[in-house]
Amino acid sequence: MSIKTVSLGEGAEGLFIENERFGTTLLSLHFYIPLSADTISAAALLPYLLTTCSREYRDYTSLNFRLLELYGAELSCSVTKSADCLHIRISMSVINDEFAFDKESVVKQAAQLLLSLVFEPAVENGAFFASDVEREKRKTIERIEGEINNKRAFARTRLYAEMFGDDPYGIFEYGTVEGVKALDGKRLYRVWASLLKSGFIRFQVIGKQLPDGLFDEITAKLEAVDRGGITDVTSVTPLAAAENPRDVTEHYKVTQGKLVMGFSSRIFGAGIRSLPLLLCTDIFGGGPYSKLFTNVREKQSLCYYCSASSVRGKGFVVVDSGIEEANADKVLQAVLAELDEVKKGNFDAFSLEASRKSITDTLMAYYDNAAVLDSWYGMTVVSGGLISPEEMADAVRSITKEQIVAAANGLQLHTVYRLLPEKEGAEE
Amino acid sequence: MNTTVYQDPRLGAYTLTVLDCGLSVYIMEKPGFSSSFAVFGTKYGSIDTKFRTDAGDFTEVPEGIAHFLEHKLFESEEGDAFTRFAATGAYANAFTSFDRTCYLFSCSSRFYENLDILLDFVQSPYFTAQTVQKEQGIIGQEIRMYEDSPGWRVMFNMLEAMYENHPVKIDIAGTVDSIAKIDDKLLYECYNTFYNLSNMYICIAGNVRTDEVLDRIKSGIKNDRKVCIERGAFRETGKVLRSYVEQKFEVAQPMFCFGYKETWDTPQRTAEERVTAGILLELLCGDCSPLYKRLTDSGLINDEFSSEYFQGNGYATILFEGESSDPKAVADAIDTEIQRILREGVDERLLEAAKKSAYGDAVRRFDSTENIVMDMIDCAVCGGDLFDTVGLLEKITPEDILARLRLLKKESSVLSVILPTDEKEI
Repeated sequence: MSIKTVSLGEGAEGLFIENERFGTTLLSLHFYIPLSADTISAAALLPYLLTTCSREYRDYTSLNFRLLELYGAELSCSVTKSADCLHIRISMSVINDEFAFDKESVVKQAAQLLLSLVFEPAVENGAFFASDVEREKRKTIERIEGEINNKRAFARTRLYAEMFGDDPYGIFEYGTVEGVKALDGKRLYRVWASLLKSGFIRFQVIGKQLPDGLFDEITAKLEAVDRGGITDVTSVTPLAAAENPRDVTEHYKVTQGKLVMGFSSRIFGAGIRSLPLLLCTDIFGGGPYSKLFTNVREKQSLCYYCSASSVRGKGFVVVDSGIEEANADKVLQAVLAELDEVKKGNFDAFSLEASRKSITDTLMAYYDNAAVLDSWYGMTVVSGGLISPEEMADAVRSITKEQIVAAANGLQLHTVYRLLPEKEGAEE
Repeated sequence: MNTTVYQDPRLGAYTLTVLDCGLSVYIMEKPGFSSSFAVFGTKYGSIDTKFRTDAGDFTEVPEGIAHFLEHKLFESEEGDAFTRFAATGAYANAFTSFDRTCYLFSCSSRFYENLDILLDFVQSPYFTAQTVQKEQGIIGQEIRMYEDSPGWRVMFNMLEAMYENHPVKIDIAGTVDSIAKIDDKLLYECYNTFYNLSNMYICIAGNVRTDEVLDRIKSGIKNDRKVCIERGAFRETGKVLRSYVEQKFEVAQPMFCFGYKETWDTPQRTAEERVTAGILLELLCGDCSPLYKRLTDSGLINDEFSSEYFQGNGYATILFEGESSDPKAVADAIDTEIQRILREGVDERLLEAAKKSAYGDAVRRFDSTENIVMDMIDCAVCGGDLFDTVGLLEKITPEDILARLRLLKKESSVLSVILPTDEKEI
C-alpha cells in the first residue's frame, strides 16, 4: 500500500491510498469547519441535502436510479464532532472497472457524480429549493428526536450536554430541533458556500487506481471558489476539570437503568502524544482483560455491559454501563475503585501486553477495510500529521507502564449521568 | 475427507472440505489481506427447542438455552477463552441467532495459534451449578436491556402475532423465567446433541493457506462421534394470530414492523428464492421505487425505513420496518403497491438496474473477510454456494417477481406498532 498526497490549493489536499486488495474504490470528500452552536444545525443537514438531489439529478429517485446503474454505488454521508471542528464526510464506494460488464469506467463516472453533487447542487437564486429543504428538515428533526429510541446512545448524548455546558461540543451532532426548524433555503445556501470557501478540505481515494485527472479537476473547481479564512483544524479546547463532579439523574420508562460517567483528562489530542491515554482507557475498561470487564461485570456481576472509551481529541473518557437501579451507587463506587487501581499502577504485565497486542492487532486490520482506512486518514487532519496505522501500532508498542499510570492520574470525575426507571405511580 | 473447489472468474475461489467426522470447512484465501476472520459454528439456535437423537420421545428444553450455552462455553476449568485470546491480541466474540451459534475471532497475526484456541474451547464444555447460577444474573440483565429496545420489541411483537407454534417468535435470549429453568445437566444434553462435528462448520477467510488450516483442524479434533439429530416440526399455516399489535414505549414517534407470512411446502428457502426476494424488495420499496417516493414525499417514512427477507428453518417473512407518524397508512400503501405491480406488471428498466446493483453488492462483499465468512455460514446452514447470487441474478424474469408477489396475502400480514407513551391508541 502506498500513499500519494497532493495539494489541491489553499486548505485543501488530495490523498490517493493505493490498495490492491479491494474490488471497489472509495472516494470521499471531508470538510472540517468550526464547531459552533450557530451553524451546527445547518451544517449537519447540508450533507443530507447534497446527497439526495443535484442540478443534474433533480430528485432523489433519479439520483438513486443513477446509483443503481453504477452497479449499486454506495453514496453516504456522516457528521461527527472532531475536537473543535465539525467533520462532514460525503463518500461514494463503487466497484472497480474490471468488474463492470463491459469494462466501462465506472470509477471515473462515480467520482464525477460525487463532485457534481457537492459543487453543482440543486439551487436557484442563491437558495436551495424549499421542497428539498423541508423534506430534509423533517428527516433531521426525526433523527434528532429519535435519539431517545436507543437509551444507551441517548444516555451518552445527555452526559455530553451536561458535561460540556456552553462548549458546543455538548450539542448533539445533528444540531437542535429549534435550530433545524429555523432553517431555510437561503441560510443553507450560505452555509454551503462558506463550506466551500473556508472549510478545510481533504479528498481521499482508496483503491487500485486514481482516475486520470481527478485531482486536477477538483483543484480547478476549488480555484473557482474564492478560498480564504480556512478553518484552523489544530485548535483544541480540552474539557476542563470540574471542581466538584456533577451528578444528574433523569427518569424514563425503562426496565434497565444506565449509568454514564465522564472524566476529564490532562492528556488530549488525537495524535501519538496521547497514546498513553488510549492504553490507560483500554486497561481500565476496554477489552475483556480490562478492570471493568473482569471485575465489575464478570466477578461482581453488577452489569451486562460496563466499558470505558476515550475521546482523545477532546481530552475525556466515558464509562457507560447498563445497571439495575438498586446497584447504581455500587457500580459507581466499583468503577472509581477500579480507576484508582490503574492510578496506583495495580495492573499486571499480562494486561499491559494484552492491551498493546489488542490495539496493534486491530490497527493492522484497518488495511483490510476501506471505510475504516478512510476514517483513519480523515482523522489525521485534526490529529496533527499523516500517520499510518502501522506507524501508530509501532508507537503503541513503546508505551510504558509509567506513561499509562501518569495518564490515569490525569483523569478526574467530571459528570455522572443516571437514566433510571420511573418510580411506580409517578406522573408522566 | 472430500474437498470441492468453487471458482468464479471474477470473484475468486474457495474450498469446501467435509472431513471424515462430518465437519464442513470453508476456506477462502485472501493473500493480499493483513487479517483473517474465522468462525466455528453449529447449526443450533434459539428455534431448536424440541429435538431427539433416537426413536424415543422428543425432548423439549427451555427457551434461550442455545444463547445461554454460548455464554457458558467461553469458560473452562482453567479460565476463560477471552483471556487466552487476550494473550495473542485477537478480537474474539460469539453470537446466537435463530438457527445458528457461532464463535469467532479476527486477527492480523498469530492466526494458527488463535485457531487452536478456537478449536479447543468450543470442544471443551465446562458447566457447574455455580457457574450456571452466576450466568443467570448476567443474561437476565441482557434480557432486560432488550426489553428496553423498541426496535427489538417491535419485531418480536410482530413474530408473536404471526406464528402460532414456531419458536422463532421467542426472544433469542429467552425470558427471565425460562432461563431460570436451565441447569448444568440440560446444558450438557444440548451440547452433546448439537455440538457434534457433523452438525458443525468452520468458515475462514483471510491471509491463510488452505492446506495448513486443514492440517491444524484435523489435529485439533477431539471427538468425532456423529449424532443424528431430528428437530421437532412446528405446524404453521398461512393464518396469523392477530393482524395488528401495539405496545407503548418512550419513543419520539411510532415505530412499525409490517410483515407478510409466507407458507411453503418445504422448510428451507433456496438460494434462488432468497435472491429473488431481494430483487423484489428493491422493486417494491427500494429508494428509487414509486412507493418509496410516495411515502417519503408524504412525510410517512424517513431514513430508518428498511426491508428484509427474514427466513430460516420453517419460517419466511417479507418484512418492512421504520418510523412513521402513521404506520397503518404505510402498511396500506405497501399493500396497494403490491396490487398495482401485480396489475400493471414489473418496471423492466428498474428490474435490470436492480440486478446490476445486486451484482455490485455481491462484488463488494468479497472486500470483507467478515462478510465472506458470514456468507459461508449461510451456505453451511441454508445451502447454496458463495457465487450463487451472480448466476441467479441473470435468470430472474419479471414473471418470477410477479409469482413471488402473489405469495404475499393481506390476510397473512401483521402490523406491529410501538407507540410513544403519550400517544393515544390508533
